[in-house]
Amino acid sequence: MIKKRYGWWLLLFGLCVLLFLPGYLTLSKQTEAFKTSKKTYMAPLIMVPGSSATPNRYDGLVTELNKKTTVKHSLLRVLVKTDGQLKFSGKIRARDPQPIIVVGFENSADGEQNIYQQAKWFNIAFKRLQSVYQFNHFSALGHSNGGLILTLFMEENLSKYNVTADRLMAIGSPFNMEEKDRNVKTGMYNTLYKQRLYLPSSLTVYSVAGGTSLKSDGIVPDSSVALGRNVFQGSVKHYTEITVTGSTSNHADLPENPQIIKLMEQYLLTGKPKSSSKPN
Amino acid sequence: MQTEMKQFWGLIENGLVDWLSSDTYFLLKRILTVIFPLVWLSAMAELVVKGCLTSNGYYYQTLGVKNWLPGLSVWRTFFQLLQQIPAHLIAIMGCYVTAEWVSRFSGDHKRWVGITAVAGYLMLNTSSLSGSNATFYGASLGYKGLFLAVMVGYFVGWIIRLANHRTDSITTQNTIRGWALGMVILFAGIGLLVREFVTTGLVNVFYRFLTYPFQSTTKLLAMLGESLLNGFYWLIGLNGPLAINNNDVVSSLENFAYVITHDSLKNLPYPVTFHTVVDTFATFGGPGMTLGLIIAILLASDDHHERRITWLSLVPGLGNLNLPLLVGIPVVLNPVYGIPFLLAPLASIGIAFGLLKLGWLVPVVYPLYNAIPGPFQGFFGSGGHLSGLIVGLICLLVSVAIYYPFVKWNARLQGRIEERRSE
Repeated sequence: MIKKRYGWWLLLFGLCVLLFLPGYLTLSKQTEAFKTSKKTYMAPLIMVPGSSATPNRYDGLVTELNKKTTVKHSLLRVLVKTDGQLKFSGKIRARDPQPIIVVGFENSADGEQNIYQQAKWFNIAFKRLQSVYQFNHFSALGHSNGGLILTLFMEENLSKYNVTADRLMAIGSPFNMEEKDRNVKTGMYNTLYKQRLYLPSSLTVYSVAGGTSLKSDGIVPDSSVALGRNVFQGSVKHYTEITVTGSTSNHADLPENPQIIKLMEQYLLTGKPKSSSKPN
Repeated sequence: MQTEMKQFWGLIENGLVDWLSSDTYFLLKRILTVIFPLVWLSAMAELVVKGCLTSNGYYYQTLGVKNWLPGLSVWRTFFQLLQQIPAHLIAIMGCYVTAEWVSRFSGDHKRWVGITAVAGYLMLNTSSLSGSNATFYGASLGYKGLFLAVMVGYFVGWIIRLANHRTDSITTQNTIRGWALGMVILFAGIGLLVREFVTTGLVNVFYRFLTYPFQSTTKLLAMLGESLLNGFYWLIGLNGPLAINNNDVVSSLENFAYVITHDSLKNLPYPVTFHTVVDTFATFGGPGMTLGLIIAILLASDDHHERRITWLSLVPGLGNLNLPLLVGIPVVLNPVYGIPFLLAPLASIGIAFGLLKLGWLVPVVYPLYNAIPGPFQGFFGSGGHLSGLIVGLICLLVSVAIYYPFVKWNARLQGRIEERRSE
């Protein structure tokens, strides 16, 4: 009987293979999609201050931010020593959906080579944080060179983790260092530009420039911040440039600038802002 | 000893033949034959909707349907109509056919009885969610409500027949109309009572009661017990409450979260769950591992009707929808196929449970798309681990081996049943 129905069985077998194939051929794509589709409850906001700052740099800022949102953000500070050892202070509250983690460096000096090294140190801190807290997405804020460190990290090391970056805010970050002429490209810019396609495609970037004059925030030239566009546009999901002027818009004061704090609340924090007393 | 065994066996066979050639079974077969086209059409459309037109469908994802099919939502609505409307007629048809047949009238008289029963059944299943309007709760009108619908049909047909028993033919029409009106008013009253207590009709209360014993578990005996009870519900014509691929949501999510953060399938928090064992390896072709029955029938049966139904049920079966097969063969209320229907999943549960415990089988951690052919679930759900595919094929082979002798036995009994009915 089986012989008689040989053709039918062949058809049945072929059908099974046919049904198996589409799943088999797209298997790795599907698995990857599953992995990135499920987001962990915790998504920290990682802050990296600029040169010469300690991990305590943002204590005041975090207190200020916590006054304005319904969900309080706990604060963890990480200091990366020159030998790669980590020193923690502060702590993350259990079930905090968005703790703030500030990563500083024992050697926080300025300079191109130092920044490359700090990006490597940041990777050490990130590796430990991710393995301890098990998050699979996060947002980041970098002030000045901190923005460069985060960008370098995202280009060079982020793909090693099963972690996606949601948002990055770079405040007064000199993508072309202190070079005022936008036609002269520094080594830092060239590196960032060359590796730009490794940036996470799901990332949303806000680049905030301060303006005390029409050309700079006192230290970083506008043109250097603006060159960030060449790095991010087309490589990430969205890129937005914002310029803030007025008092406290000089380079060092930018993280405490009320306008910029509002931008952080709006774009980086997940806790709802406390409702204002009267609707307009 | 041997003769005693033979005698005992003979008794069992006689009992089976008695049941399978009885009037009651004949009625049930009639009902199932009437609803088969509805069930089949609905299952085919459901396969298209679930597998190809919704975002968690196997074919939708793997063939990238969204990218090349224009008017996706229109197609979805079209197939949902084809799925839902025939499905919603199942219980109603069952109720109608039963009442007609039980009343033993002919012509207009029997139609009256049928319509009365349908009206009565509908009155038990209105939803009180929309205030005093009588809206129906769709699912109760489908296969899910068939059991209750047949009961109502039987009751109405029987009462009217009884009432009419002593009257002569001239008064029959008026008597039937009078009793039909009485029945409708009676059911309206019961329906009103039901609405007082539940918002979604009597069928759902019934099912809330039925699903009570089903709890999430990691114990082998509990899994076997729940699988048996679930199979038993299906056999007596009730929707078994275990939905495929939808159990153990919490532990599945934790397993999944573990894989995402550790990028490894080793040391999962919950390797053995109802989902990784029963959902994945004991539902090929639908509840009862009926893909095994399909293959066994195609291998061993010479019955033209059985083979035709099986070929028709093959495509939905490859998407784990087996209602056409259960209704068409029928497996429902048929003890001959009922035994392997209960046993085949138990064998698969035993195999998968043992291999998972030994660590030889990688558990399913990724969400399973709808309508993945059953034997491939273990493979795709583990992210393409070969052990999932091998165990899937072993379970399929074992289920074929379990069904095979029963297909042969059924063929032998059918001969006797035909003899008996022709007497």
